[in-house]
Amino acid sequence: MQRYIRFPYIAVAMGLLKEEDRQALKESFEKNLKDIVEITIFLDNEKNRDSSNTAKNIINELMSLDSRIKAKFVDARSENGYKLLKEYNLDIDTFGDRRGPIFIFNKKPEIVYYGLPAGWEFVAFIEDIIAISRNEVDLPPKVAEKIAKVDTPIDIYVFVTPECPYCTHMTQYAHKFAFLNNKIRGVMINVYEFPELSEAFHIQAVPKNVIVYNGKSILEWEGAVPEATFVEHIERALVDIKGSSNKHG
Amino acid sequence: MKISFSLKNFTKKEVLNENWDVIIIGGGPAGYSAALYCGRYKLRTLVITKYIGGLLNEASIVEDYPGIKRISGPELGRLFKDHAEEWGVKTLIDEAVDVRKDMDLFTISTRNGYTFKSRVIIFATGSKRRTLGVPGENLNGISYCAECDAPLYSGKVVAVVGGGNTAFHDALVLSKYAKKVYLVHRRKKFKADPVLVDEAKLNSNIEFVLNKIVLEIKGQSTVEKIVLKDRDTEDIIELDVQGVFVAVGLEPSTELAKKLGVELDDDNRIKVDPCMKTNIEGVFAAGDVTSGSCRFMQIVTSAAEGAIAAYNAFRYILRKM
Ligand SMILES: Cc1cc2nc3c(=O)[nH]c(=O)nc-3n(C[C@H](O)[C@H](O)[C@H](O)COP(=O)(O)OP(=O)(O)OC[C@H]3O[C@@H](n4cnc5c(N)ncnc54)[C@H](O)[C@@H]3O)c2cc1C
Repeated sequence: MQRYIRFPYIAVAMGLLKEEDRQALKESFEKNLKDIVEITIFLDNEKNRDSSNTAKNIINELMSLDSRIKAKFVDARSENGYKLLKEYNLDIDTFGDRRGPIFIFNKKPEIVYYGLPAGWEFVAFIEDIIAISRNEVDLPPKVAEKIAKVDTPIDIYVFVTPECPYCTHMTQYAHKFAFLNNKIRGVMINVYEFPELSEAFHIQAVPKNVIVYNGKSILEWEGAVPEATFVEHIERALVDIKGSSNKHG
Repeated sequence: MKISFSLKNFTKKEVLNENWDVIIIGGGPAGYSAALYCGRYKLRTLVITKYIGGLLNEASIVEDYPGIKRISGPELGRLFKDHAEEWGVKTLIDEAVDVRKDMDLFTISTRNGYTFKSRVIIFATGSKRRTLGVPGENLNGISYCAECDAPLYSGKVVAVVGGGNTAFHDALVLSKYAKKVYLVHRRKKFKADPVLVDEAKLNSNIEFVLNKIVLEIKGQSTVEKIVLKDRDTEDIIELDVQGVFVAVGLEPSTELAKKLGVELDDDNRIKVDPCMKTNIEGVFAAGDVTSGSCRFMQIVTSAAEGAIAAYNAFRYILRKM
């Protein structure tokens, strides 16, 4: 059963961006980018054909704006593609076997997008490109200090819809945390494109944020919160994880 | 609907000064309208807000802001912000958690650990949705934002609770996705604007369930049923639903103002005079959070109050110089 509506994507060859946005992006990249940013995009032409096409188009469009943005498209249905997906530990969608579109940044594979960074999420994607290229991220110092101390590998899943204006804040924070500390992986999940995964986590309101350890949900909440509150949730989850691993020896 | 990639949320990053002429708490229509005027008065102005646009983020379509025939709420919110920022106003996405007054200077601290000083404070903290206060309200499937969550209820049956503009807005947004929308209201008549009521009446998948109060929401971990009692007959009925959208009114966000000693009215709104002054010198307020504009809580009234607050903040600063 398909629980979530599929976004009726219109396959557009080029021109996903408005002209004014193209100009603004071009200027922003010119001013802000430093090093080359390589993005790997896994495409699934079986289960998410339309959005995989759109993924390709939007990335091509970004590449046409600045030569420092580079991309590798991987067919996730091919043997090699699937192997690479596993190597990056990106097989979290065991529920629907959807293998794309999934975006990761080669320099920081902990920054992950499951599904298109569409609508309000697009800004998060642009912020990630700039942060990785400049090798810097801005977070309140108090928050950064706490994030640096995280010593247990956790995933943060941020379930979003492209229409949700609040959601992108949570994606951005999760990705900034992942940028600062590679024990943390920040995964945006577009619920339209990953319906089975979203169903498995009972997504009925977005943003839904889940702290995951060893594939299991440790702590979850709905709604957007400031960075400092987000970190407090992470700290609570870590206490839970450590408490239960002590109990089990 | 065509897929879009929007850049409207792009915020410039910069190191913020510690000292300001005006700090506005809240970045909805009231906050950014005040900010625009402050910017044009050449006051050093900072907006601290949890979200850009405030409640506009939840307004699917706005059709009553003069001069703009139709625009999505979130988009209008970003226009307010961009307009103010053109006049030098800065934004910090954060939550103000403390405000103190020492002589003629205010100290504001934020959740993320920043501290600022300002000569004037404008509270434009708006309001948040009231909760139902019934058992089951913590189940999965209770929502307070149809704009955000409606697509998740595609093909399902949902209930919207409330009888005002927000409830009708939510029902209309949901009717585009859900198989059926029950609009549950405790009275027989609606408070909502006639245009919204008429539109809902024409919508074959919206069904009015009137004169009923909500007793409980039932379900294992997610919403399965809503239990209602008729106010006349006291009959109890259960409706099978997979989601409940709560739109039973708004609660002014006044915790911070209260902490500072700002006087509130019986409805917990900030008491203001016609110049948007509060009982504390140097503290102004604007928008849904105030007792102003006959409590007509709209974008246009909030924006107007913001402008008035800014004007009087400017005059106050001039006087103090
Ligand atoms: C579903 C819906 C549809 C609507 N449609 C319309 C419409 O079509 N036309 C119309 O005129 N009006 C409409 N309204 C009403 C309109 O949105 C409000 O009247 C208006 O947004 C009020 O503006 P404001 O600036 O006073 O407050 P808000 O918009 O509520 O903004 C206040 C902001 O302050 C922030 N804040 C609060 N406390 C703090 C703190 N301590 N630190 C930092 N930030 C803080 C909040 O997070 C919020 O972002 C609608 C409302 C809803 C809910």
